[in-house]
Amino acid sequence: MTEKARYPTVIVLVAVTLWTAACGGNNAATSTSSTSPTTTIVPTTTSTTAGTTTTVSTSTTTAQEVPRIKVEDGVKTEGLDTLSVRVGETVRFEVAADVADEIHVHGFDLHFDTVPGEEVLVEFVADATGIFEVELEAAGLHILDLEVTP
Amino acid sequence: MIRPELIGHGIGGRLDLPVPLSYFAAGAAVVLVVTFVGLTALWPEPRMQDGPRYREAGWRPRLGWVTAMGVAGLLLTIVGGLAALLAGADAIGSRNLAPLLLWVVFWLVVPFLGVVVGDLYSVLNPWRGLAGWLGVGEREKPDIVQRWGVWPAAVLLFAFAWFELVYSDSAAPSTVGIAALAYTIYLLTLMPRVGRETALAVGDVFTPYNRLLSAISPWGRDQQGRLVRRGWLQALTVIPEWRGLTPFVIVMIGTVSYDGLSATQWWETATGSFGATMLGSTILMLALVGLIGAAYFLACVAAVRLGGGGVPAARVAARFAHTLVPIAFAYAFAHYFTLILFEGQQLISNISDPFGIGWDLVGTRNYKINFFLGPIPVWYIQLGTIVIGHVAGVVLAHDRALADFKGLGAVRSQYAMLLLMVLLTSLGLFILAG
Repeated sequence: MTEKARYPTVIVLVAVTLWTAACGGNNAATSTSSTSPTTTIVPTTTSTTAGTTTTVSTSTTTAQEVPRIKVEDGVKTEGLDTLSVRVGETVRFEVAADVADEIHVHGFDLHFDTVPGEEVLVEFVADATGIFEVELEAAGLHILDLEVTP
Repeated sequence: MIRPELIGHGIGGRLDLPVPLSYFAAGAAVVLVVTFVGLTALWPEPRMQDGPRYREAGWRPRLGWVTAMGVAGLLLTIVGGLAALLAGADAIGSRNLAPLLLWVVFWLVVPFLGVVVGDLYSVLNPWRGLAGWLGVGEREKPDIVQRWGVWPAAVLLFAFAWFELVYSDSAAPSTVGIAALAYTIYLLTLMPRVGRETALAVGDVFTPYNRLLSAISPWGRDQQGRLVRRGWLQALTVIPEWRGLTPFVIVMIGTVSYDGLSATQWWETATGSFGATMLGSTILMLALVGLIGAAYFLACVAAVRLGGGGVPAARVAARFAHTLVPIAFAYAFAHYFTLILFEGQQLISNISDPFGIGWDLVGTRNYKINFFLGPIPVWYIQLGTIVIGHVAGVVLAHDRALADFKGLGAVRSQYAMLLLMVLLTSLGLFILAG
């Protein structure tokens, strides 16, 4: 019957459109990734919402500068909110906390102890993509988002 | 501002990278084409409305062990949570089995598996298992199902989503353990009053949730409890129109949308510090559910007008609620499957140290998550799921419209519902791209 015959037609149409779109998407994605610059630290695109105290990192040329995050009395008082790196690159940032705690980089599941009055350097190679939470574990304080792009 | 999602979410600590704009555009284009094709080329007579044709699978799996696993999982969750509380090991949630069992296994893996193998939860349900063993709630009061439908479950589903997404401590093992214990007490006190199955049908969030999703599956059980084969999606057309079915489905879509949307940069800018507070995010989640509900109801009103009238819009809403189920599933799957693949590996280390107190039972305590899937396959899977969910929704809505509206009205009544589906799917894509 004609209705029956339409079943495969629709499926083929869907498959073809999916396939076409998938290829288009792929090309576009590779072209964008090849043109974007390879800086170690990309400035964060932070929202300028009223009521939030956001420090915008503007390190574009001095990529060697290690970003610093400061925590006082259980509150983050200084430092950028999102650190972006490419996969395979080394993540580097310092944390100065006034408590003995543990910096937990989720996903990579790395732990770094903090010592009051000292700056702890967090350094590792980001070998997986995604947006990862960095937390002062015992305080339950979310101090940074680590964005690892392909 | 730091993304609120990572703080509020039940478990995790990792988000997928946003889908690039080109993928978003490709996905949206496919959705539009598919919808247009659906409207013009799909069958002109209803063909799914008589319900599935069951073919007996021919074998009767013995499933007692699945129930036992469900009960064991529940007890482990409760014990794990309380152990963390007693041992003072509550801070590092990922080191304890309880949050993973609840937020990954019970809340994601079980319903998603049900979409393929049939209603796994109906067999696994630890509360049915416990009540059966204890002999609780043998006398059923089925009229309560008639009166209440899934309204209580819809309200509880919202509360559960709130617990997952808004309540700030939902990943703490002790919180999870206490919540599991409280829910167990709640169901076991309800069961003697209204009957075991009645309590599950009316008062258990996860029974209708899993039943709706698993109606997508080509596997089911017939009246005699035998395993049967049926077509994909076929069982959705014969889902009973319980009272509160529409709100339940709307809450399903609304809460997952909230989870995704609240993690986008756009949302942070739009809601600011208001959205970062618990009260603010509660109001916003409620508002989003309300907005999606209003859009759906509006589409139903329009469908009645375009379709020639004669039916109340609320009736149309109930008749088309099942068509949103594949879309709800697609949202949830696209959003959470990497959480299962990656965070689920935590189970390997949890087996060695289930309560986060330093054990190493089988030597896997220090297992590190392997992020084996790169962003590009993830994006394809996300877009593919969203598009397939949309197609399924369009097909179901088309077939139901042919049955409920006659002649020219049947074609015209679909404009509104298809437009709504395109909007919902675009929202799903937007969330992935945010």
